[in-house]
Amino acid sequence: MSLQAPNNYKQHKTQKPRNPETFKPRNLETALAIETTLVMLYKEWIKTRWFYAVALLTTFALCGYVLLNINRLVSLKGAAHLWEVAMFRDAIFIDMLRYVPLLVGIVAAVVQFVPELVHKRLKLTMHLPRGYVRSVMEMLLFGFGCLALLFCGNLVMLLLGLQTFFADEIVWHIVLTALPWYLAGLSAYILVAWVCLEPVWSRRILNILISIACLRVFYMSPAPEAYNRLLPWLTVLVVVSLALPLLSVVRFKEGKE
Amino acid sequence: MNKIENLLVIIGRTYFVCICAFLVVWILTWAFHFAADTSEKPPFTLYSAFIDDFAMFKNGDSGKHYYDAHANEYTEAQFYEMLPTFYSKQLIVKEKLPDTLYGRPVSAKFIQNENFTFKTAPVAVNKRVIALYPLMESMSGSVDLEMPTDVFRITNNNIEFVDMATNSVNEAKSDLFTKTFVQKGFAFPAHIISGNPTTKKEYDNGYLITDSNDKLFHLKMQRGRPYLRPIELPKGIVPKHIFVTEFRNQRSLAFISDTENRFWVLDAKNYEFQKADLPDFNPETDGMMIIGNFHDWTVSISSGDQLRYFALSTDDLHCLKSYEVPAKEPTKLQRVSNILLPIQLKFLSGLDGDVWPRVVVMGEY
Repeated sequence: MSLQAPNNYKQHKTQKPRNPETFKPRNLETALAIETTLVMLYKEWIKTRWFYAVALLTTFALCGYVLLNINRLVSLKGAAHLWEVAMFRDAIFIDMLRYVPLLVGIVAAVVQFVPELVHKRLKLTMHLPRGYVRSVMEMLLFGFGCLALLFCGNLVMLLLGLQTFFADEIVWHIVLTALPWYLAGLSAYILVAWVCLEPVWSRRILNILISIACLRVFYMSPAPEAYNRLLPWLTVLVVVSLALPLLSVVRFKEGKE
Repeated sequence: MNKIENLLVIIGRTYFVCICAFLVVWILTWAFHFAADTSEKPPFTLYSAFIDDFAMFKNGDSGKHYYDAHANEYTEAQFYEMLPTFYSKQLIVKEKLPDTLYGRPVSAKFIQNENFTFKTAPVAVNKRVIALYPLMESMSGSVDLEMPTDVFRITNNNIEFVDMATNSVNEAKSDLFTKTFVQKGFAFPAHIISGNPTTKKEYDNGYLITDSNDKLFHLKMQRGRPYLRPIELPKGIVPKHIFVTEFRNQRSLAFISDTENRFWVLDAKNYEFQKADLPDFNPETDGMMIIGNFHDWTVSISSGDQLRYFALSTDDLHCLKSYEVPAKEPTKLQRVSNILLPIQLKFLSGLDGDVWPRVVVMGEY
């Protein structure tokens, strides 16, 4: 396979003639690596864009529905009643969204990784003239980034919407209660990717069981702000868990089936 | 694979091993607890001045069982008569309520007026609360209490009233109250803000607040105007937890536990502190229940597996009698589970609502 310099590199060359004394072949490698990364990300985008469009519409619609519901309750029972139940009866009004990020995370991973396996595209990825671990990591980071952006959008919408009804203390109380649900969505994405990429069925079942137990941690208490102490640690663990699917890929590469 | 890719795979493998170990310990802990849990409700226990002992009632498989701390058995009728203030309604129905109790003439109304129950548990004390507080009108002239249309917060510089309907700060009211706070020497922000924001009480006694210098203040709203009274603390008392009482008899303003885990009763009339003759009590780790009448209080303090009862005289809160429920011996299954799983892990605790990994090394039971 012949390697071609990317377009922008060619432009760069035409604008500034190459000096043989200062030219380093490494520049070419870096530019090529960036280009292939962009190609990989574009490939993932083509594959998942419809899913993310639907997820964007659905999750924003659900957030809007929750906010409209609060607005309806304010008209029916008065704002004071809602403030009281929030302050003294642990009401957070957005319970409906509890499992939405989890579901979105699971579907995102399925949409992105199942076609790789069904159509044996993963094998092709393994044979690209670049590190296969790197390729899979880029795929994972693409999905993780898209989901993180989507969830941030959801949270910002909730934050802004709730601020029209409640004081900051109540708004943050609700948002901090919802944060573990969104973290569970990100975790679900990584764990389902790990399950999907696993080549051996017996090991896949073990991965499923571990994933269920891991996701249970995010839903252990319905009490508001119950995860405040654990949230920073959970965030770190979710980010580190990005390394888990790589184990499956290594096993795939080793030819385990 | 290059160095970075190798490192990522190593991180993945280490993470996998750690997470497996973590999950195994967690699930086994849950399974052992589920199988070995033999917790049962302690008997209802109340001090009886008639027998100068703790009377107990248990509704078990063999039926109702009435006895005292020295294992003397009683009939149901005897039990009611031993505790006339608690079972006053029952005795009225049977026309057995005495005219005089403990050398004092009593009526059913007087007894019921003096009876009270107070309860606090660590999970309620450690709970995360929203720092907004409704301040009710204490002198509305109406029989029923009404929730206000605003709530207050105490910031680093002032007290702010937020109107709930418009979600905006009521500047005029905030300025009026802030002025009073400054005049009375309140140092912002507040450390403790304690009250009972509910209409399900006989009357409203507002809030007890400590400022940043741990000075204690009593805040009420009377006819729309602020009432803020500094309360002199006896030397050496730094309040840590305050429970505004608002009992029907209006004798006490609050129960207070200090930084040295002493338990104090704040008198409602003269704002004087009276120390209860009780051992160390930390509301963050210990539960407390007080069932009081005009003659004595039965105080139960539970700390972990330990449950102790104390009878206090209402005159000077000295201890009349105490009793510790004998600790239960661990069952065979509990002993075995402690040996098989010396390190246990659980995320939830009865002390607070937080989800947090709690590792217990041997002997949880």
